[in-house]
Amino acid sequence: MDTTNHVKPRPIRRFNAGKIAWTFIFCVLGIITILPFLWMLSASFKKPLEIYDFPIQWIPTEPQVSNYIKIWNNPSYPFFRFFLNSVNVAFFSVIGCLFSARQRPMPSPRLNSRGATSYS
Amino acid sequence: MLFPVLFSLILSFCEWDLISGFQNIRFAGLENYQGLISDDWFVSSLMNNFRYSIVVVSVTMVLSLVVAYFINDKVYFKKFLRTAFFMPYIANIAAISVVWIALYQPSQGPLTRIVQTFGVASPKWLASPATALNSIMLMTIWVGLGYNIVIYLAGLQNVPGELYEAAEIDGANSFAKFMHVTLPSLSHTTFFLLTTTIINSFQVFGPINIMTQGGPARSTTVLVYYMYLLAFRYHKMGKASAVAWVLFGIIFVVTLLQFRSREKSI
Repeated sequence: MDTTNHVKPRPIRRFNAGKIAWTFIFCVLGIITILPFLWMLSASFKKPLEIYDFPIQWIPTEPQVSNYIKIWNNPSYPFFRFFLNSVNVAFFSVIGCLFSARQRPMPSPRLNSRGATSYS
Repeated sequence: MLFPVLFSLILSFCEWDLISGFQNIRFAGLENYQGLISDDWFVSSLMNNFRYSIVVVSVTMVLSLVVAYFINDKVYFKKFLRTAFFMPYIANIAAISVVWIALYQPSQGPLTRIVQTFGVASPKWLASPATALNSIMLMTIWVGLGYNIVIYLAGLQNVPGELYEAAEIDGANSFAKFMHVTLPSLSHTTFFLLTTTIINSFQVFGPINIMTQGGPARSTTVLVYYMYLLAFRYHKMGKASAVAWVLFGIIFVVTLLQFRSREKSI
């Protein structure tokens, strides 16, 4: 098979030292930015007394799932009920927004009077 | 739709305690507004709010522009970095505040320990009037940065490549290209972000309500939090409405000034 005619000139890949340096700096910054989330994730698997251990144990010595079980089973804070409440709010506000946004802009470009766009 | 707005305007000239029914609304004239001028608590919350806004807006604008400029085409892993910086913005502010209370814990919190490893006495973070507002600023900058970066990245896509080529032919170095091509091309984006960031910074409430309740010693009371205290703790609906309208006036004037200065510059 003759491939010589189909070979496109490939861009020369050279390692760009400047780009690597900037990548390193910004990856450090990016990781610092998400550290609070990672700390929170690791804390969610810890026993209460281990949370403030320092140096930080990013991977708990004995990972606990009990925190996750507890939030679903606490009778004084019914998490499932709260979850449903959030779903309720999200569902109806999205429906409400979509419907009112569908109907509201209709007249405004068609009305030419002053203030036609300001009634909503 | 305008009813709540008009009702608060009317209330700001009245005296009402929220619980005793509409028949007890009493007209008070300009009393509420005059009362605000001599109210130390209001003045200090106004000053706190200005300090908060100036620091948060300037730091957020500069940092987000720099980060967006670099992660646009000067680094590998662009998508990872964009996601990393955007993550705080999509997280819920109540959850974030609770996590940062733990991070800021003054004797054992991770941030305290990290500062101590440098051999420096750690600040008391939220527990001291001198550092409480700064600690909240640090957190809200961290939260808001990602949004500004993403909008700046979108703006950077629209900068025409020919301009950079032309600047290169003219012998511009990368700093000159940034100052004379990137920055002017982003002026629309900068204007939009400046306006929304200022407005948001004047409306800060969530982190303050959760993390400090305006304390210690009123050092983190900002306008919206003071308004909330007046309305729902002290039941002075009239005065609270007056604060709301002062806040509206400030935001309105700042935004108007921006629009004016923009018209001039074009």
